[in-house]
Order: sequence, then C-alpha cells, then structure tokens
Amino acid sequence: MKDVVTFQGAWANVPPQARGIKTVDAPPSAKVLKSIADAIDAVELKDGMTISFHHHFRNGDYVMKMVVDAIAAKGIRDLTLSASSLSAVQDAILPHLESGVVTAIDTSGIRGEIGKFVSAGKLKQPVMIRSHGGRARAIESGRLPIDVAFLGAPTCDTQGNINGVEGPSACGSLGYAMMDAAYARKVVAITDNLVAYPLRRISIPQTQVDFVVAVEKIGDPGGIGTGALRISRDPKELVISRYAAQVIEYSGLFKPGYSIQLGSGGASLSAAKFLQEKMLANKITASFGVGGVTGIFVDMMQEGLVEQLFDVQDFDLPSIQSLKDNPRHLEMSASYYASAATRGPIVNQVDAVILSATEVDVDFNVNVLTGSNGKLMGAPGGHPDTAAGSHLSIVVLPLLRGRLPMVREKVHTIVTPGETVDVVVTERGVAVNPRRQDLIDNLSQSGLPLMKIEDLQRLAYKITGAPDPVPPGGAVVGMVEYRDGTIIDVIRQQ
Amino acid sequence: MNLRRTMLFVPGNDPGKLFNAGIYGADSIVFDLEDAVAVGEKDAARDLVRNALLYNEYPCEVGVRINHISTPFGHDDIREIMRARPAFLRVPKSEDPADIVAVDELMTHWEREYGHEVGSVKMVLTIETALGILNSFHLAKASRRVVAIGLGAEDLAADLETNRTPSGREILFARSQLLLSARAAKVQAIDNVYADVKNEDGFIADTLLGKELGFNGKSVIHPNQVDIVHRIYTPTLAEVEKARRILAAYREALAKKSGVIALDGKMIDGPIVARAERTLRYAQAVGLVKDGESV
Amino acid sequence: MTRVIQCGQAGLAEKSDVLITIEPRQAGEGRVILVKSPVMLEFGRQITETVHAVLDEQAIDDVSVQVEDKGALEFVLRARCETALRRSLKECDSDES
Repeated sequence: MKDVVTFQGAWANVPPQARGIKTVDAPPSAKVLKSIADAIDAVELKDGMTISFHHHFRNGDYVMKMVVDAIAAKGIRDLTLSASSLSAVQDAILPHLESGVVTAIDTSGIRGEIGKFVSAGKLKQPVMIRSHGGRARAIESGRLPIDVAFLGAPTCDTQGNINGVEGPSACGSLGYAMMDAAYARKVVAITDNLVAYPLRRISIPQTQVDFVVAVEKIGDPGGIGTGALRISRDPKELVISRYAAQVIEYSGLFKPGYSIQLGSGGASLSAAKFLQEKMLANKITASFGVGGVTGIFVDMMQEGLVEQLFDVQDFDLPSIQSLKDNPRHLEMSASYYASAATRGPIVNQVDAVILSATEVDVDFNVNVLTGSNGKLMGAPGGHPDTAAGSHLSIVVLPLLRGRLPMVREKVHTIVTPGETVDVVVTERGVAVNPRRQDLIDNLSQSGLPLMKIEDLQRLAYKITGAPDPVPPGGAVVGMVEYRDGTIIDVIRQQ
Repeated sequence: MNLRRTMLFVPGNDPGKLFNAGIYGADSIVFDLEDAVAVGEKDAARDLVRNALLYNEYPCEVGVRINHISTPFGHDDIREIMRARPAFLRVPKSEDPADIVAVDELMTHWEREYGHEVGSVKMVLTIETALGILNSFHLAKASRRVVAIGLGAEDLAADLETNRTPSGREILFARSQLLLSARAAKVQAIDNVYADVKNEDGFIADTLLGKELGFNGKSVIHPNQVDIVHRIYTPTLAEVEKARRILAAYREALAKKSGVIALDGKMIDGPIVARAERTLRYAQAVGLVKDGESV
Repeated sequence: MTRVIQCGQAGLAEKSDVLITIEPRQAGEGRVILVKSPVMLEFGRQITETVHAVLDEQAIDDVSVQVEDKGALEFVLRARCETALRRSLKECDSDES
C-alpha cells in the first residue's frame, strides 16, 4: 500500500483535512487569547493576505474597525478585505484604505464613504462585487481564499463554539459567517459574551475556530437590528406592494404548499401583509419561507401561514427570538441559501420572491448596486441568486425617484440579468417579461395595470424628460461578478 | 352620472402628493387650496395646482377646492384655476345661494375668456354651517353646475356648538338633511371626511353609516382610506347575483303578464326592482359587470 | 416693461420640491441661472431650459435665478419659478398703480 505513515505518538502527525482548502496544523493548547493584537500574531498575519468579516451586525458592527485598527498598528499592509457586505458604519475604516493597510475589497455591498472612495478610483485594485450566493461559491471553490476570518461572535465558549442568538450583541442567524468559518485558513472568534464550555446551542463549531478573543463590546444592538420592523404606511409603497401580492395571487403558483422569499425592503415587507390577508382569505399556507427574516415573516409562521423558515440573516428582534425558540425556524448557510456551486441551494425551491431594486431597463436587467450616475451605493445581496433560482421573481420599485426615471432604456450597472426577472411592479404599471407567456396569460384576469416594459419606460421619460447621457466614466474601479463566477458588468471611475 | 365613491383631498402646495394623487384608484380627486394651504403660500399653491392640472395626466376627474370668494384669495383662485379647466370647483362654506350664483358667473366669465365651453366646469358644494344645512336644497339648485353636495363635519360641529365624536352622532341630523336635499335636488351626496386616519375601525363604521344613509360616496383625506371606502360602496358578488335574479323574475313576470311577482317566497315590488337596477348599474360602473351585459 | 425689482422666493429645498430665488440685476446685464441639483448630470440642462422658458414667457431679462433643486418634476419647477417671479415683481406693480 502507498502513503502509509506509521504511528509516531498521539500528537506527532498533523492530518490533512479531508475536503476543502482549509488546512489544520497543531491544535493550539489554549484557544483563548488576551487581545486582538495577540490573535493577529498567533495567526501570523502578513502583508498581502486576505482577511474576512461578516455583516450580521449590519450598522452596529464594532468588530471590523477594532481588527483593522489593530492590524494597522502592527504596520501590516496591502491586505485584501473580504466582507459579506459593508454597511455605512464601516466608513470608520476609511483611513486604513487611504493609508494602504487595505488595498483590495471583495464584498456584496458597498455604500457611504467607502463607496465614494472606490468610485473615485482611489482603491489600488478594482473592488470585486459578488452576490451572497456568489461569495459562498467563490469561497467553496477556492476562488476566494481567505487567510484569516475575524468573526464577531455574539456568544462563544472557550473552545470556539459560537451561536448568534444569545448575548448582548445577538444578531440571530450567522449564515454568512458560516462560510468564512468553514473555509478560512485561520479563524478568530471575537466575542463580548465568553461563556463556559460547552455552549449548548452551536451554529459554528469549535472544529473550525482557531482562537477566541474576548472584548468589551462587539456591536451596538441599536444598529444590529431594529426593535421590530414596522410595515410602512407610505401610500405609494403600499400601492406597489399590493400589486406585488396580487401578482403572486394570480401567478398560478398561489396554491397550498407554495414557497416564498420576502426581502427586508419596504415594499417587500408590506407585500407580506397583503399576502397574509390573501392567504387567510383563500386558506392557503406556504410550506416554507426563505430569507433574510423579519418579524412579519415570523408572525406568518406563528399564525400557521408558513410551515417553516430558512434563515440566512435576521433583521429585527422578533426574528432573532424566533430563531432561538422555534424549532421550525432553521438557520442556514449562505451556501445552502444560494450557492450555484452546490448540488442545489434552496433558492431553487422558491416559488415566488419579491425583490427591491434601484433601477431596471427595458430588457428587465436590474441594477441594485449603483445610482443612475454610476456611483456605488448598494448591494446585490441575494438578488441575482434568488431571481435565477425562483420560479417567479418580482422586482418592485417606484417608477420615479424624485426626477429620476427608474425604468430606463439601459441600467447603469447590470447586477441581475433580465432573463431571470419575470415581473416588474411600479405604482403606475406592471410589466411581465415576454419570455413568460404563462404569466402574461395568468395575470390577464388580475385587474393589474399591465403594460409592456417599453411603455412603462416611455411613461417614465414622458414625466421626467429623457435623461441626458451620463459620461461613460474612466478606469474600471469595480467588477460585478455574476453568481456563476463570470463578470457581468464593470464599474467605472466617476 | 360619474361614480364618486371617493373624493380624495390632496394638499395643494405639496408637489409629491399632487403628482401621485392618481395612483390610489380614487374615483375623484380634489386639490385643496383652502384649509390645507397656509395663508402666505396661497399664491404658490395656486400656481402649483394649475401646473399640476396642465402637465400631469390623472386617471380620474380632478377638481380644486378654492377659497371662499369673500376671502382675499377666492377670486384669484377662480381666475387662475379656470385656466387649467378642472372637472369641478369645490366651493367651501356654501351657505348663501347668492354666493353660488356669484361663483357660477365668475366661472362663466373665465370660461369665455379662456375659450372653454361654458358650463363645462362643474361645482361641488361643501356645506359646513347650520345655515348652509338649512339652505342646502336651494344651494344645490342655485347653479346648473352643481353635481354634488358634501358635508364639512369639523366646521359644522363648531357651528353647532358641539364637538366631533368618534360615532358622529352630533352631525347625524345634518347628514340626513344633506342627503334629503341632494336627493330632492337630484345631485350626488358626498359623505364627510373622517379625520382620524389612524382609527381604521372608526373609519369603517363611519363609512358604513354613510352608505346606509344613502350617500353616493365619501370625502377622504388619506390615500390608504380609498380602498376601504370602495370595498364598502361596491356591491358584493352575492348582491349582484341577487339583483340579477330579481330582475330576471321581474322580466319573466312582465312577459307572462302575471300580477304578483315573487322570488324565493318573497314579494318583489317596485322599490325592490329599482334597487336591483341600481345595484347592477353600480356594478357595471365599477367593472364588476361587463358593459353591455343586460341590466 | 416688466422688471424684477426685489428678491422673490418660492418653493422649498425639500424632496420633490425646489427653492427658487430671483434677484434683480442691472439693466442690460442679462440673465444668470445657477442650478444646484442631485440630478444635475442627467437633467441640469433641462432645468436651465425650463427657467429660461418661464422668463421668456414673461419677457424678463436682467435677473439672477438660483435653483436649489431636490428632484422636482418640471411642473413643480415651472410653478415655483412663476410664483417667485410674481413675488419679485410685486412692489414694482404697486409702484406703477
């Protein structure tokens, strides 16, 4: 037999990991370290490496700034920063972009000052924009190797078992962080709730975590989630969401056992309320719901309208509580949610999804990343993944924002290709993708204001005037990767 | 006759609200230059409303509530707004039939001036004083332009020296009187605004009462109220079906020349037939029944 | 001839609205139109044209017009220009009467 190695003592040999890219070396004698600085030494972070973070704390995250500050203090430079998304709070690391500590970014969302910095062409390398499923795929496939993941851990024990539902900075699901934990070469858990071993409820297991650091605070609960997301009373948004719910009702998919995904965008949330009424009236229950989960989704499960929830991230306190308490509320990883490199993510089982957008064009292409002027200000999130996977993808947006038409001849940046978008809903008209004759037939009896997407675009231009062309922009400052790993569009300097 | 289940009031100096007024499905829209506009902004609101009427397309009729002609703004309102030829002017504090005649004459003057067909712009009167209620029949008859009269409940309650209550008992008599006058004058009766937009249950009860009294529709001040009123004022499919059967039985009896008509063991007489006809006409107007389907 | 003789303002620098400020200039100095807008790139030209159109309609020259736009549609821009203009002429009218 080949490759036989004889026993040389219980700790003499370091076995290679069975699959994946993560390698295991000697298990550390003690995982708990005194400080982030010690952890940076322990993982042997060097110039040019890739560090990663999750965005489950959204706008209440303290971890990224703490870590990058500590890295900068050690004089380490030229890092690639990979984040599942960047909220506005991360503007705090801007000085480290300016000084060259971080020179490349890989994320699924970018806004605020960092967005401006990148748009202005000041980052050394073009930013890489990926969808949630695309990031999971890139990590799993080895396309995005992560050297060290610094994971904010709402509750963590001394061996690195982690959950997100307990502790002062509870954020609920850790679906995005699961990818980094599973595949990063080194994983550092940073917690403000270090508990005795063993943790009872475990989302990320000790087998994936190298070191644990306790700090005073990892997040601001006020920024992590809102108390409970309220359904909008904005009448225009309600018109849009009522139409969206009506699309589902008449789509042919609205049957017992159907499945839905609802985002956290305003119109998507209030559509849930209309859907709830229709489900009650028609005695239809859904077999499962997928998403970013909100209290409204949780209500629907508690009322018996949705059997089960698959949860990749939580937006408010009721959803965090439900994930903790309700066995029908399941945590899932970004890969399970949306990765095209798996044997099948759950987005492929979703019947209907309602998605917000920045702008769409007459080819049904969707932009959720840049403004019409090309400036970075958004996040693809799971948009391209779920549009591709679901049987009915409904994109909701106002026909105009201020004087800007939102249904245009061409979107500035294609994030989700039109061939995966089925219906565009605005307050002044609903357009069905001509590829979906079945939907056109089904919706003809719905009473919805159906029109061709070109007519919707002309209506918008008639009101605003035809926009003057935006200058094409300069050098490429960002690339938009589609969920399969191909580049679907680029972002240019503005 | 135009369907006016809802008359949606929109503040006259709010660009966003004026622009979006048409998306809520209201049967009728009223741009308000009166109570919704501060005294210092009357001129600005007038310009904005005129341009909104000229530049925007709305899927339903749009009227404008002007300031009373006894105020410094009323005449300017009529002159400027008539240029844009709204569907109607809604005239506040209608009390004296002579005022209605005066407004009518001004409208005629400006219609001639701007080359609009004389009489094409209608009037809807808001009655909101005790004297106005007592004069309501004569007000409705004061101009051939008057197509509807409505009640201004807040001002009326003040004039009656009482307060508004959630149940609206204090204005019940006035509401009934207004309905009587409207029917006698053969114009539409528009029920009053329910100001507490957050109290949905109270709003539903108030709308139901108005419908039971016989009103043609209701003034509303929030877009989210439109659907609720339409649900209440629109006949249910069961009601439409019953009306159909009544009319079928009636026709059959006529054909057979039989004197007594009965359906499901109940007598059908003239008023029941008339009501069934009204239900079907209504259903037709809101698209529940296709045009051309026999009524 | 109509002449702008004082500062006239109308509208608000708030969402979907526009604040127009009109000020007189010396006879023969012509028009100055300054536009600040979040949609400058795509609609700046059209905003300026609309202001010119309103001034043309009333044969007004020798003014400065400041446009502080917050995404107003054209009907709003027109209305606010008309109001600001009338307000800037007001005293002039009363002088003549």
